[in-house]
Amino acid sequence: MTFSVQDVSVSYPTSRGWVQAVRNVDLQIRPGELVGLAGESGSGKSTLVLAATRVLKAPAVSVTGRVEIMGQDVFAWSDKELRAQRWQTFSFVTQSAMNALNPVMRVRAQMHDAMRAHDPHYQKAKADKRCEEVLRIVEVPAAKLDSYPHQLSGGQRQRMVIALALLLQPQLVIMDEPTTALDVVAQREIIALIRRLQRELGFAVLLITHDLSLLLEVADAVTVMYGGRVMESGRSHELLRKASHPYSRALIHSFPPLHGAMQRQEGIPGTPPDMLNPPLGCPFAARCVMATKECGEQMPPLTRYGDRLVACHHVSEQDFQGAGVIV
Amino acid sequence: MSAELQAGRHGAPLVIDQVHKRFTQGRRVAHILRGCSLTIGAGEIVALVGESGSGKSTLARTIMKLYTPDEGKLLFGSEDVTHAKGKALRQYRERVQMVFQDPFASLNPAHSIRTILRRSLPPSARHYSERQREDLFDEVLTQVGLTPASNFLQQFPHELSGGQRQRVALARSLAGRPDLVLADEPVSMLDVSLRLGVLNLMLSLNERFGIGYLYITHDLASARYVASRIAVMYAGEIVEEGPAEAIVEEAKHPYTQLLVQAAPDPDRRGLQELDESVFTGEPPDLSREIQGCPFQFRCPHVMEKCYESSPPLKDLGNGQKVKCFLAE
Repeated sequence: MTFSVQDVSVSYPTSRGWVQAVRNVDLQIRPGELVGLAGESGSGKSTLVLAATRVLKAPAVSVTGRVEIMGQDVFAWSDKELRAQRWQTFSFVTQSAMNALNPVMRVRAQMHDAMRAHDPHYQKAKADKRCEEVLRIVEVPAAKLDSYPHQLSGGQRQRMVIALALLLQPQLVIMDEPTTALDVVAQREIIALIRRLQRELGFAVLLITHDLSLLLEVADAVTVMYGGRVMESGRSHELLRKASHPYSRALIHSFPPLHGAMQRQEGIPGTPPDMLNPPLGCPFAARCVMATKECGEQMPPLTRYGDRLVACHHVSEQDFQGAGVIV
Repeated sequence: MSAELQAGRHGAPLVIDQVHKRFTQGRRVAHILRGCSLTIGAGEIVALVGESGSGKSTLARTIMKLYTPDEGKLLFGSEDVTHAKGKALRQYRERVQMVFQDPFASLNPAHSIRTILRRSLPPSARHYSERQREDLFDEVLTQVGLTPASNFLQQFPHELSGGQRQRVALARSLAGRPDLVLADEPVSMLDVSLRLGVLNLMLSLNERFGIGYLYITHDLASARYVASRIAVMYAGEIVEEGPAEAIVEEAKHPYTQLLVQAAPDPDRRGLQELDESVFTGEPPDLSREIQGCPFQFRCPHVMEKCYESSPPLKDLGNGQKVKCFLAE
């Protein structure tokens, strides 16, 4: 496993008590995979990833559970070890490329900064060569190395941030909404680029987004979060064909289709739960068409059915029989 | 503006005719709208699709008369509103309303929903009594699904979710009983599970009250969902328009084809259908005159004559019009 999250919970302290932003989440990424983490704002997807990689740490948050990157226990690393692992083993691509790049530094200087901080064998001449290499990889002319961020287009900036993440050849790249600020054509270019680089360089990607229709098309596996919990996870083509959890099913039907027959679709009524006073049972119960009394009182456990994990009282072994999911 | 316009309720099409809009900054001139023509029929929903920087929002703001066109005409019903001022402009704006993209920025955080709605009341509602006003607020909030209205009236924007705020923005646009609402990416800031709710609300207001919409988006799938017609904008021009189905299924302009290809579609697994050769180049620099077709820099089918002259708008007969030499 490149990245393994086991039973992780994250809470924030606030003046009104602890907010349980993430509860009992499991997530696995194998080498070279593209795994999607889907969820609405406030579902805890960014919190999970930031806490699991120790970007968020005590006393700002309280984290329980176990996280492994390339088989090593992340929470056991000393600060020095963590610094050495960052960028070498795993790196980040953040949401807004405009804010991720320093506006008053040339791109080349920012790349050198990252290498000086994280590469024990840093040499100026070698680093310059590496900069040109990564720019070739992300298909930006090498001359742009000496540009300031404002001189680049949105798509180019996003490519620069990806180039920055690939500098030290990490095994895992975590991308938090890398394409939301871009329009559809640029978004498609970036996703196609990421997929091609993964094939060539073999790194794994955790792609965080609210765009489930994009994930179902391009990701190998998808985890759907809601109210801080995993609702369902599985291989994306199976999930698209037969989502089991009422939430993932409703989410898939929240996207009008691009082709084929058009009919009036219902969205999901209601609003996401207040995480300060999380519901006792399933967080989706208040908006769920299948909800029963049990759902409001008790959180269903995340249960494994073959490749699939589902947390719902109304899903059982029988739902997967004959569907070819359990082998 | 005249009594004629007032009488023509739900009978006033908006005609945008060859509108140009330039912005100057020092010596630099940016040609943002370059001969834009579009008609929105009375009670019709038209989607305007295009990438960022193509001029979609500028067109909406020009229709709203926040900008005055440098060339071309803006007709509403039988009235020429291109240079409308004063009372005529106020009356026009009462019938054409706008909903903005970001419901977190478009509502004043210091005001209650009641104040926000009261401030948006049209001049024609000035003589309303307190009672009539409250009834009107009640009505519009109920229409957008915020019930019981009396609870929402005293709340402040920060107490509402994104979807609820966007509903307030829609309620505000309804207070003047408009004929046309310009909705500039009204759902792109909302959570996925709430988007359909707002789109369905637009559809039901269209069915019940005949309110027309210009729905600005870059999401073709949602454009097809709400609109009967789709217009595709590129570099300040409408390069193709037609019935929604025809635009998605039988796009004639290479740029529309690119948009259809780039749209996420879970039914098409993987990226194998992606023709990477199409994805070269960037939109043209609008601060310079473009000779020929604006898409020449990215078009995979570019020909000699595309560099020389701009293709004329060709009517394909089925309501589809396209600006491309390739279209028969």
